[in-house]
Amino acid sequence: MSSKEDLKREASAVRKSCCFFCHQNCGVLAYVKDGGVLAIEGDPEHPVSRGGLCARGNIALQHLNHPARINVPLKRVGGRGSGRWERVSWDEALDEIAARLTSLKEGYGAETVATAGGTQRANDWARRRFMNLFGSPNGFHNAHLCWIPTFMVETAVYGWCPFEIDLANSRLIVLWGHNPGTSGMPEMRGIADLKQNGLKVIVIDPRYTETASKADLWLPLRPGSDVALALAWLNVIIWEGLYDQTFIENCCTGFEELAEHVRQYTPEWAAPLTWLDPELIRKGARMYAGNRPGNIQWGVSIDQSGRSAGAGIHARALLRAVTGNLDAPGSDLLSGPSPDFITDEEMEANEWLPEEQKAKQIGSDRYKLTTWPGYGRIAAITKEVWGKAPTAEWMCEAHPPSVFKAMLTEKPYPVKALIVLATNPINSYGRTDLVLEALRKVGFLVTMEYWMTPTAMLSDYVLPAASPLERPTITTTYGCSDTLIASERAIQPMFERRTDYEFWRGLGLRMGQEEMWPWENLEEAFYYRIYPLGYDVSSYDEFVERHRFHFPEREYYKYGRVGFATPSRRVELVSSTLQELGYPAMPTYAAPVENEIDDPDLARKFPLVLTSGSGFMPFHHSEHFQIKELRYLKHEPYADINPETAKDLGISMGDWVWIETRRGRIRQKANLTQAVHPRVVVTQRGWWYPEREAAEPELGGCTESNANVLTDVSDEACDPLGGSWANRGLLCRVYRVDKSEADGR
Amino acid sequence: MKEEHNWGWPIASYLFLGGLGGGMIVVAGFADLAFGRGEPFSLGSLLAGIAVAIGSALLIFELGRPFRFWRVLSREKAIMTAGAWLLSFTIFTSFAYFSFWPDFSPWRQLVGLRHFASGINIVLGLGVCIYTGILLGSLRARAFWNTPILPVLFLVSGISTGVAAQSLLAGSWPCHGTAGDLGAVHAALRSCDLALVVFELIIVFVYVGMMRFSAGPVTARIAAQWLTGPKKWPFWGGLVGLGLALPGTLYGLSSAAGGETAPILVLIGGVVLRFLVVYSDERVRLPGESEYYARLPGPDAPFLKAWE
Amino acid sequence: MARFAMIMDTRRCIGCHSCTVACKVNNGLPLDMIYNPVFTSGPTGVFPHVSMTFYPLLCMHCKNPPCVGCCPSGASRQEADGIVWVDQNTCIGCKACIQACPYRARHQNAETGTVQKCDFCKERVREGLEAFCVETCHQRARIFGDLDDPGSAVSQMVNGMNTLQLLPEIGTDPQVYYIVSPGGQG
Repeated sequence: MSSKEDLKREASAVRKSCCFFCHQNCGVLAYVKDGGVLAIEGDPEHPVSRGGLCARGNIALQHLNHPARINVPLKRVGGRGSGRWERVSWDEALDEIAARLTSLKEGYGAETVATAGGTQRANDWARRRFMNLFGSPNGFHNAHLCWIPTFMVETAVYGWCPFEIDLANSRLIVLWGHNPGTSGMPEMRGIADLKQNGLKVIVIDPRYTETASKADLWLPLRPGSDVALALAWLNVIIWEGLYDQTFIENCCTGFEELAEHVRQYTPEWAAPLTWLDPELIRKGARMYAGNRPGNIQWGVSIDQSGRSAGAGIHARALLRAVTGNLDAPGSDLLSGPSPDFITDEEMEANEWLPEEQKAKQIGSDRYKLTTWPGYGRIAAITKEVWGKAPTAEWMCEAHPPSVFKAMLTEKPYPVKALIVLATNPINSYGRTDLVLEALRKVGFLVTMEYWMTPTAMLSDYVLPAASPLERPTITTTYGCSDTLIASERAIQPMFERRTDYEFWRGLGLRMGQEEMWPWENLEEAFYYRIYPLGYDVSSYDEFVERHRFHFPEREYYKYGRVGFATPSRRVELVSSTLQELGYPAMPTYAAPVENEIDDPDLARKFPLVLTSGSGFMPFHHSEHFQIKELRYLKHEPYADINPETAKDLGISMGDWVWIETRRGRIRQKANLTQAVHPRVVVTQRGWWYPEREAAEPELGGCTESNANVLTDVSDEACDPLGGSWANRGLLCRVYRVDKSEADGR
Repeated sequence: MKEEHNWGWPIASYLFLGGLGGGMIVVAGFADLAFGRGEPFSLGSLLAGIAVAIGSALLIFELGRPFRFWRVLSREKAIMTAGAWLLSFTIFTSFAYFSFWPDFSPWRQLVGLRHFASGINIVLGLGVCIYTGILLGSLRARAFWNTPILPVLFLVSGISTGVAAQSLLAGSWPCHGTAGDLGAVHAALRSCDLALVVFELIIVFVYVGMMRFSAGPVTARIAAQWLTGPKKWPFWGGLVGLGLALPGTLYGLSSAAGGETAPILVLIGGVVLRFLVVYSDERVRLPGESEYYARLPGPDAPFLKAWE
Repeated sequence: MARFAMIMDTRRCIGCHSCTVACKVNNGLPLDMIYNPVFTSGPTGVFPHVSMTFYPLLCMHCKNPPCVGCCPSGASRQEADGIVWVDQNTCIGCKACIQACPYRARHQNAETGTVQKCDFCKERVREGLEAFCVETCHQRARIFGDLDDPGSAVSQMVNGMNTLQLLPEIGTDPQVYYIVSPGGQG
């Protein structure tokens, strides 16, 4: 076969594209000719990835050209999930979908239409734009599991989320429930580089992960007990006098109250809850407070704790405040939104959604923080102070479990349609059986996808989505960073694939929204967004070619100029915003919804503690199981279990085992490892078997090894602030699958 | 998945056939040169050549590119190259030697030339027997093979199986002698093989014993497999019992019936020995290696055939 | 003349398998052929006092390559710059070299019958490009270079740091060196 260099020489152009298979959006140079991509490689000039490409990035062409890709619009023939499809044209599909949505709006109100997304993969502002203009407040993502509750709590407390980490100048980083060793390749490289210069690393994770193996300190806490740990750290830092007096005096309010409030949360109190020795808890707190400036890198774990998520996020947020690790060199920076380019929020047309429709947002009566009540309040303040608001499509969303329940119960009102784009809810949303039931029942289901996922299998229409190489991409951390990295399309979409932007616009044009979609394609929309930056370019592609990114000059202590975007313009250690929304103004301990202390009977039946859904290479959520080059490396699911526990249960390495909670059970193979506590079990997430039948009842084996069969979305299990459901810290039991059943596979 | 055996039954069979053929022509050559009694072993020379030829054919069959086999007859300094030349010559000289014996042979009377051929055959035969052991012994990555004992063992086994086969064939066409003439021949072969079998038993125990108590993890483990583990039946039953101890006893008892059974058992032992050795090709494992390969899919994993 | 070697910095390697995949897709390997697996050693110890190290493996391009000496057809050869490779037109698929290799670095291609293996991306490195596995590694855990160049990173690391070879007792003098932090913590 010709060498790669030969292929590169054959190309007629090199395009500065990016990989879109995770948030890092690593730069990809695409060598193109005649509408096809001949070769790809990492882009050494990309400011973040610098030429590296992980296993997923390397299979871009396998993904682009895979025989199982959806390449034409499909319409269901026969019963839902029967696996029979007819090909339709885009115009037909869009006409019919638009007509159906219009008629549903007439019959039930626009709120009867909901949309589901996953993690950030698409132009979510376009989705929100359409929904706002249409009149429905019921768009949602897996936001509640991933950063958004953190963003909103932290914005409530100190005016924006300090997600930009000034690592180069830092002395210590706490990776809290975060494993960049498997999920953030450039980030991990940065940490490795700086470790050589003395950066200290603390990893908080029940499992001895790739990142934990490089850490200076590892805190293997009980899954779901992060809130206890964070409160104990606050206790140590405050009551041992390790706080930043100057910062607290100059920038904070409520310190005395907070100090009094956390007095009870001693390390001794936290020890039985976290399964950590009190001295170890102290050590971590002292290390963080004693190595300033330092960073706390957010991880999904607290967001996914369910009932105690909000409290845990809140407690963790305050750690930065009491140590002055906010917006100082080497700490976590409150960069704020970009004043320069057009943000996602500014593209969302939020002002078009009528107030009475906002009020109908499902879940907003109960979970106020990440819905219109909370978002409205918080966004108003940020607009005042920063001039801009956080992205609504993410930070202001309907509560997904409640929407699925509404599909089934028609409470608070019927939800008759769901548009699914960039997600596979059967695999990725809590409580798989609930989602399955809802999707089987919902009147109208449209999915835009790369693959025939289990969700697509149940849809009425399946529309072909463009691959990362077939679309331009702007990277701005969910629309909330003041930085921007721009990547261009490598090729126009092949076959009949289209970008999500064209989908939403296509619907919008048919549904009376013509004026609001002046940009014919993404390049035009993106050019509109970067234009105010003032670069001398006449197109988006030119910006990519000549500039590629916009990194404003770093400004520390921005709050000196701008103030903190809170009601008092200070860091509110006692949060007035949260209080107004009816939540505790200070983080207050809440136990995991299922735990052995409060419910010993349950613990007798389910004696092990589960943390579900750990990310792992080379997959990403429920993606890439069809890419043989990746699947070959890990072709079956493995759950981590301590060897002592396994021995007691008669389980050997590689045995198929059932992992069961009150909701149901799944099977994975047992990986006996000392990486976990004897009472902890860690399942892999995302598993389904695309090689199996793509129709009912098999549905690609989506319930066999899928960790979300085990999770809890009941109202009691959800965080009162944001509605995060419980993926972590649940009680489970493990037992061997019958030998006879295992042989059949 | 476990590391597959790169060399399987064709190689094991070839090792046996090569040793067998080499041993047979050593016996024939020695009997002719030293005792002037080459005729009873003449057919054996033909069959020796055929055995080596079949063995070589198995080697060729085993190649990834069988039609390129001729490349092995190169000027490379590899042991296998030397072996290939050796085998090639041996096949030729075995047939050549045999060709002196049938009545219709044009050079039946050229005894001097025939003696010269015997001499060559002895050298080549010994070479073929020992070369296989040297080849395996040179592969230091295969810890159980990496010992100078192995070529000695294969040499002794080769000669022993050669003696056994020749004793079964002794006196056949084109030999003119009667059964009575062969009494002394058989007695000599019996004593000879008895000595070889005893010697081989000792070498086997030294070999396995040394490996069992060696420091290397692989060698000790494999030796334990032979002695008490999954390979204990082929080892104790096949090799030691059926292949060496029982025929040795039968030889010692000198019965007529035993005299016919014992050589067959020796041959069986020769086969078992080669198979045991060839399938004991484990390497020292690198850290984490076993777990990694254990989790890779086997060829029948369903996803492999999807989306073709 | 160059003398190529590679350093694996296990302090940085996180076992992400990017190198495995980059090599496979860029070299067009058969699905079941892996030139450079990444092994996980551990966690060793008892929870929570554990450690773990990742070992990327590939052909070691040994200074005394047993796989070259045993090749009867001359297909397996070593160049002056140390790179060991297999001429696909000459290989007869006898697998002596696979049997000779302590590192499981050689593989028979089921379709062609010949043996193939990592060749340090010889065409690329001789033109000054990086091998695919080196280029793709975000962590920069794989360092490749010329041992004969005292200024090169590999020279400095091999001479200046504690590096180890795998299975040195077999005596092949592998030219892939590992940096392993003391106590095994990667």
